Amino acid sequence: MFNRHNIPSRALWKFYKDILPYILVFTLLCKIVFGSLIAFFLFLMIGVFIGFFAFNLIKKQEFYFYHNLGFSKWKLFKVAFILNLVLGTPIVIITLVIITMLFGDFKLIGI
Amino acid sequence: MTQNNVKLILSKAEKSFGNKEILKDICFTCEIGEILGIFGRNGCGKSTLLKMIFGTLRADQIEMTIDGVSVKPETIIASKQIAYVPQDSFLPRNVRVRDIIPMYFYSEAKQDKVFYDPGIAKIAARRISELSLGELRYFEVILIGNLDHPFLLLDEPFSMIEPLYKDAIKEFLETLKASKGIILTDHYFDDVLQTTTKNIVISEGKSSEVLSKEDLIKMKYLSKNHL
Repeated sequence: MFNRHNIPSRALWKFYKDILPYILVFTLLCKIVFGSLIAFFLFLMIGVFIGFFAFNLIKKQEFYFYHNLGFSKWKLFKVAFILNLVLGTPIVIITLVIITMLFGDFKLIGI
Repeated sequence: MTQNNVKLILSKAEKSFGNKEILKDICFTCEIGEILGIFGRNGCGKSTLLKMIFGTLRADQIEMTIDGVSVKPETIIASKQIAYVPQDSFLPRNVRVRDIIPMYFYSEAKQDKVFYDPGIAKIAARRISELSLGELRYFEVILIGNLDHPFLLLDEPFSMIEPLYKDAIKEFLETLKASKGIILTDHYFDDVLQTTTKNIVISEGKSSEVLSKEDLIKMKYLSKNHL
């Protein structure tokens, strides 16, 4: 995934950066509705699915940008899932902690 | 894979949408050194066929070999044997041209070749969203054409672009065919006929060889007024 020439990693990193905003919006909505703990759980379990789905809906044509580099949708998904675990987790934890500190641990639906 | 005499053979391609049979008897060959043109009226399945070959659209049936080896479309992307420039723009709109080039090529020589192309150098600092249709199409063809994939699919490379860029694309394809087999489809039939080394037309789901403009009339792709 990360070679010394840094080529595939640049494109893969770009793909993850492109789906990350969708994942964060989804997590934030989950935080508002269900609270921090469930939001974090949903981020880990289905965050990438949501990001991938949104990208497919909004920027479907851009998949060809990655296909020409040899990345199928499945490969992009796997890489995004790993990057999300490694890099997305701290970002989401920090975001959720800051929101909780500012607004308290509110939720619309108590589960 | 050696670059000489590598041949792509499509011996069967079938696709239906619901009850409508779009493609039912399609076959052709394309080898390195050739540019194959595919003609056909709107909705006859040209773009569908290219997507099936590239593996982004599931075929009902498809049989294809590259260099004598049977290939499944779902493995094409990962194997990097076929590159594809789709009809609609696919480059990320918020990225600058100069930042896309190093995402595609690690060799500095290759980067320079693309970057210092006369048509690219002047647009290098601009974002994709700021390019004209002709500039964008030209950049897409140059970018994807410079990949090492032995085959290249082009869906409407001449459509809606100004003559200068059209000529530049034709010139580039003429140079490129020494190292690639190229398959292209476009409605600008004069441009296609000037560029290709052989042609087929898709009509009623079947492919037929085209040897001259008269054949396009016989096969009801052109009217007699075009002679």
